Amino acid sequence: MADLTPEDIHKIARLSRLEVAADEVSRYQADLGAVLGWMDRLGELDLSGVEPMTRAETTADRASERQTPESRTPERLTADGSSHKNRLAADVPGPVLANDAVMGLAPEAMPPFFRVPRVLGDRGGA
Amino acid sequence: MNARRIAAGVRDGSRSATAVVRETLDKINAAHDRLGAFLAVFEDHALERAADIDARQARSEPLGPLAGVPIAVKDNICYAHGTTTCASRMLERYHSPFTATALQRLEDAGAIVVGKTNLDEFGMGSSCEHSAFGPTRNPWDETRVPGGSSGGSAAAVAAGLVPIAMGSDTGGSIRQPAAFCGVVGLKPTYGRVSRYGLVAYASSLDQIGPIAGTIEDCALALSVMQGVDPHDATSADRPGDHLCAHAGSETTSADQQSGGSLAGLVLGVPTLSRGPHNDADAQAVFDSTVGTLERAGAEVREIRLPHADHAVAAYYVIATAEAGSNLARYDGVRYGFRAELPRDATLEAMYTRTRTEGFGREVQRRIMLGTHVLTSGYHDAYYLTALKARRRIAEDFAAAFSAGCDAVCTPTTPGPAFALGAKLSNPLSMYAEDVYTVGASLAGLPAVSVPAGVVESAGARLPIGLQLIGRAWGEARLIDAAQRVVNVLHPEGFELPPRAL
Repeated sequence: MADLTPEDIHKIARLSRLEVAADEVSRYQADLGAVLGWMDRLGELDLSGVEPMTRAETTADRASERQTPESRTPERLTADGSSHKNRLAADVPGPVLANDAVMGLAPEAMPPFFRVPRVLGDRGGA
Repeated sequence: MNARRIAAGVRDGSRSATAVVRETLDKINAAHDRLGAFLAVFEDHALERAADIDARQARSEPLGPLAGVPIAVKDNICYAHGTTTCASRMLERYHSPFTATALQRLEDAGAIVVGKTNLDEFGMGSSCEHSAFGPTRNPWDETRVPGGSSGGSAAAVAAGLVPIAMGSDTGGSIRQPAAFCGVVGLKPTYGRVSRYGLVAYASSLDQIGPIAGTIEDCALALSVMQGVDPHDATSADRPGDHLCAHAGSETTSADQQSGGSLAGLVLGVPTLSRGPHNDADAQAVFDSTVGTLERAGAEVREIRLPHADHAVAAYYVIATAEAGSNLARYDGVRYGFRAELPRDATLEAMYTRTRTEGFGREVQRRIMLGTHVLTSGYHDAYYLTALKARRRIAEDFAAAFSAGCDAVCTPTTPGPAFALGAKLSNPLSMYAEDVYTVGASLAGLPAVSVPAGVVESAGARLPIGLQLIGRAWGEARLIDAAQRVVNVLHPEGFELPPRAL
């Protein structure tokens, strides 16, 4: 699984929206192949029946106590028996960044729009 | 330089914040060519803030617990002054329109931001060499790395330029540079400190935390930064006012009861801590440190963390997967760098050229790894497997704590700071640096690195760090344990690097 072909490297690069120059392909094959080969060691573990842990499950705090009744969501029990709830913010408008401040950061803008190269038509490419 | 003493002096009028900041700026300028710890120094801005604090003191207005304390901030933490570059060409000219919550809280407590510190680009590295703006050097030996990714922050504190610096830790980026530079670095429990304004690398792991010259100053900074924030749904509503209670060089009540010993402190030492990956001198420091703690009354238990050998592999799968997703936002449209292209270039070409020119080599490598481990056909073998291993790793720690350990105790790193360039050509050797730190990151646990001892290598004296990992939300106990350990190991204080200011 860790042996990557030049085609693999070009596919990964394309999906990543990165370019790999022709003279860099073999280096990426070696570098990525070595790291993936070492990641393959995870296959040694017996992980049958283990629930994937997508995030640190230390955040089961007392959020529910602060929530308004409307924002309460169903509780989910996880493998370690602790309860986790989605925490939803109250649905009220708050302060936002000024439009000018945000547009001013853009490499190319025509406020209130961002300018990008042509998307549709003969020369569009997205 | 001690933050608590500076703030006390500024509050009672015996020191002026302006004088403190001027002295700090002089030291930063004097050390700049030698260390390269800072990417930006905010001279006028810091002096204005200091003058404001002095004026408030003169009017007898209340001042915060960090009044007049100069702090340095890792440059992946947003500040609405100057640039926030993440040490990347991609954000070289990015001016954040807002300030990170944790940083805002430090400022509100009176801290004065004197500048932004160097890092591995977007936090991706263990040496500070993957910075688009050049490496930072270790104050103990300028031919060596300061560690990473918060290398600029650790070097700035170790060199005596600032008493406290903010770092961020995804897989060890606070603890490893703190160990390499002989200072204290604390990664809080995931959710203790708001991530709002921390530029995302791996969101399920990233935490902001302090690096300081003393445990007491780490605790003080953490007590100010921590707490729930409506801008970060993963920040937790936990009390934090007790965090400073046990930190300080003064003898604690527990010490008095036990005659200054470590009686009652149970330390779990995993078998991994004596692995073949360790440098022999660093191993000797660790073993002798554990022996000293045991003689001082600590109960040292050999424990097994059966999945710890696989933690680095699991970490790099998860971190690169999240990095690939998080860094998709850098597309040359809304902010940051955009590559120069002919007028008839396509949108797709603009994305690709921008990202290829804007990101450095290590960032591109991690994005590509992350893309691959999430690709259909590989997702289950890599990403899903890593997430399952992550649960096993967390359960191993939980078992150690339920068996009565107050803290799990390991070396922070397998060896002392390495030479600049030594690990650049081999990414796996760089990743292996993280063997002791990634476990707490994956499990979301708080962990602190404190100086253990010093080794001699090629004529240089180099610090070695000791890591203590605590229970989730157990920072107060962890800080207490770390302070007691340090009181035993360093009754005269930590050794400082040569030429510390």
